[in-house]
Amino acid sequence: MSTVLSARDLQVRSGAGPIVTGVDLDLHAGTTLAVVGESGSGKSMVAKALSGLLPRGVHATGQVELAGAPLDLAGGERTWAPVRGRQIALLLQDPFTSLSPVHRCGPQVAAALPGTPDRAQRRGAVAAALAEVGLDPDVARRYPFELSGGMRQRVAIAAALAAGPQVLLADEPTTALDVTTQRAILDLIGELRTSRGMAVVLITHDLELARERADDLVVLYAGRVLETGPARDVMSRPAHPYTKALHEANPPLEHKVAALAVIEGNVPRPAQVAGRCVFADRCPKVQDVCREGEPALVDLGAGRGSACLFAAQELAAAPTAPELAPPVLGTDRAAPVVQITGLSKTYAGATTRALDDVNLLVGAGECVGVVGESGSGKTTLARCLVGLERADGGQIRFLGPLTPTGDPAGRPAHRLVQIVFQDPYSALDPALSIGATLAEALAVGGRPRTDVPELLDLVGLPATYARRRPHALSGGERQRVAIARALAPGPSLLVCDESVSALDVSVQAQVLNLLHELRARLGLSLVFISHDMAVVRQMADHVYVMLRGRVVEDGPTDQVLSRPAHDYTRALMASVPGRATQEQ
Amino acid sequence: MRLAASIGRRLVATATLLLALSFLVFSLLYLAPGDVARNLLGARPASPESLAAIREKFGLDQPFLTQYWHWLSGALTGDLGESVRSGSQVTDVLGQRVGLTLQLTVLAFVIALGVGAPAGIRAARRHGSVQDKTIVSLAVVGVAAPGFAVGLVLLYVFAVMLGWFPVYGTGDTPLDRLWHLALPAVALAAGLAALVVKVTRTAVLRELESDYVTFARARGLTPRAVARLYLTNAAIPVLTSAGLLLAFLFGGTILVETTFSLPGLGSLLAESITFKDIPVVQAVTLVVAVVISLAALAVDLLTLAVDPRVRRAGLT
Repeated sequence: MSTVLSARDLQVRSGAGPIVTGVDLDLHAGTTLAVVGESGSGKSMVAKALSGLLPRGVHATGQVELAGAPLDLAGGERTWAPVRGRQIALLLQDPFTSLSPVHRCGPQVAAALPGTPDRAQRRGAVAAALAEVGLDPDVARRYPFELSGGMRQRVAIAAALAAGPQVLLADEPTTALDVTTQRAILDLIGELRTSRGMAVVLITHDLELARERADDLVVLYAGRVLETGPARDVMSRPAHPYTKALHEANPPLEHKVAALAVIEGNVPRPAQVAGRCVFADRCPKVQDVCREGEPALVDLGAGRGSACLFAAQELAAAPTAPELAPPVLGTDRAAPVVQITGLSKTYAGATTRALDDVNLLVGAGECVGVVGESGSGKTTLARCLVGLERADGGQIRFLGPLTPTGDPAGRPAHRLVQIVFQDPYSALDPALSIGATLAEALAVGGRPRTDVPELLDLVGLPATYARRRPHALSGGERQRVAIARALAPGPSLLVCDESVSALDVSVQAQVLNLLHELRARLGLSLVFISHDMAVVRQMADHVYVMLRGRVVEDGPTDQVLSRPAHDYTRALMASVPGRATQEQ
Repeated sequence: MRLAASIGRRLVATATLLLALSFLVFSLLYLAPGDVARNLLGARPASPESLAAIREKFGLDQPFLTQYWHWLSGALTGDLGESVRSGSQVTDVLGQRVGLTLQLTVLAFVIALGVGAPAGIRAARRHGSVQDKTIVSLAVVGVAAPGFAVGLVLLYVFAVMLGWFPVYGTGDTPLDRLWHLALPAVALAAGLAALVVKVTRTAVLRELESDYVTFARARGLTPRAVARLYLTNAAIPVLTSAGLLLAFLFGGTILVETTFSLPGLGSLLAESITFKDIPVVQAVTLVVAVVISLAALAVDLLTLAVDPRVRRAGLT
């Protein structure tokens, strides 16, 4: 196992302060190192620093050795030109934006090929590069927008590897893809790593994915390494409270827990937590000594390291088994609040149906999960439910009485059903204060502005937040505001369209718990739309599986997820990261 | 098939637009203050007989739409009526003037794109540098300064003080013509070039920040190869706005041709407005409208050629 790249004391700084501090990495040929972290951990900056692509005003320092020769991180184009592509390549997250939209795929792959003068030779080389990633040669003549997300990412991989790098930095390479595609792309990266003897750095927010795909992992938090070691050991016996908490906050796929473990608060900026343990403010086991200095990464043997003062105790502690939720034997579907029958929708100019004869029922107080990949029609269904789209055929019937308070039926639809969207950053008007946003929503329900503090309290935010604007809030806080806004008119049914998928794992758990709590407290019914099977397992009583606009399977969540009847559901379950290793 | 249908729809839309414009242009006759017959008589003495003759000749006693139809069918066959001022055919008057304006605008357009686009690209590449700031400041001045003012300065410095260029006249041989049109073309191009700088700079900046540029650099593509990628992408918004800029250019010719005493369409329009020569005003307006509509059409067709996504989805 030869070391291709080693970095010591890697630092990334901008004018505003440090971004990444004191990171050591060793990359070995033919192995994968996962860099795991939430947003703001600095994981992408590590990748950018190692490819010389830091944004203007951001600088990196540290001793880096690449294939036995020193590499100057602060070097100019002359230093990096022979390195990029030929020795280190970077693969980006979003295959929809990482290729030029107006150029054909062939030339984009060929551009990075080492000089081949002859046209026929070049075409042959492109075909070979495409074949290596499992694509037909005729993809070379297609434009990126003519390909699916998975195919685009394959083209991008072919382009990244065209010049034969020894190191592939893959920055969340599958986050923008569907689960089934995700698996295929990760398999491909694994195969290429072995066949080419490359070192792969897999940058991800997903612990399960890291466990499944990486040999070693580095856990980053607020720009600091908190834990390192062989991936499976770290995951089965974490030696840092953060790793443990992150692992526990991850919703399990196999069973439903009574309540998800949460990490309170938000990921801090590195500058805010300098000179002490960066996790101290959110650590359940924090001691005074944790804030007195910055704990160094301690060698625990067996290739493991932890930056916790109490690493030995952490390592010795038996893993805590989460409390399981009582089995749901079936919910009351006899008295539905919403009944959808034969719903169909075809968008203008589309050749396939977005919704094709969909039947769906939501019982009173029930949480109904809708799962499916992109293009399955789940978002169209949500938009039809709240009246943002008009179905071509079929019926949506809201049935009363709808709330425990016994409101009469016949209220306007917007008071019956509300929606929470995926992206909390674009869902709130940046020019309005939180209070104004909520007051506006309250007015729709005929409630006074003075109810704003009560509404904020309902979603666990202090009343002082009413004066703030969205940009001063974290992603999780914004999503809480979005939920409060949806609740303001007093709906009976809340539609959550991928409402937690843009959030970090630790924050996602907080929001999921909040939704659970609100459901119990307000007697809400929920339609919970998600691509994430583990999240659906935690939330839904009854689940519908959608494929190309049709419902292919439905039933109690436990039954559908544990004993799927349809091939597609089985494929979805098998593709969930971490699933394979858990079964071994 | 879809592409052909899309181009067909665009052609129909252009034709409809031109029809609507011609209607507006014809309405000019009635929108002008005063009695129509008197206006059409111009400076000639208005006796009851001559007014009656004019009414008879132009069919002013017929319904509005009938008059419009007469005028339109005339215009389509190249008969735009007689000039009130000179009495000669409007088409002949236009014919004498149109060549010069065409040469002037094409020259200005070439200068504006030739100077503006490279300057915009350079500013975007050196974003935040002194060069960028200088180019942007110059562009602001260029947008703000009226063409005739720039023209006066150019005339004073290069024609009067230095004597490098002629003060007036149009030149005889092609080269001589170029020499005569140089200063007016620069005056006309100044504002346009400034707009091109702004559009190009914004477009290139946006492309430079996109993922595919980062990815291209990460793959070790040469700066030249990377530039080829983002410049093709940035060309799309620049092209789209170029059509609009052409309209801007025609507005400018009126003042610039007057400043440099050039006998083009612009100065013709100015003179005709002064003399209330409504048939000529109508004709010039119509020509400008046709040119701008055709330019917009050309831009759309060019977008089709450059952007495969539009080719696939069809023009909107």
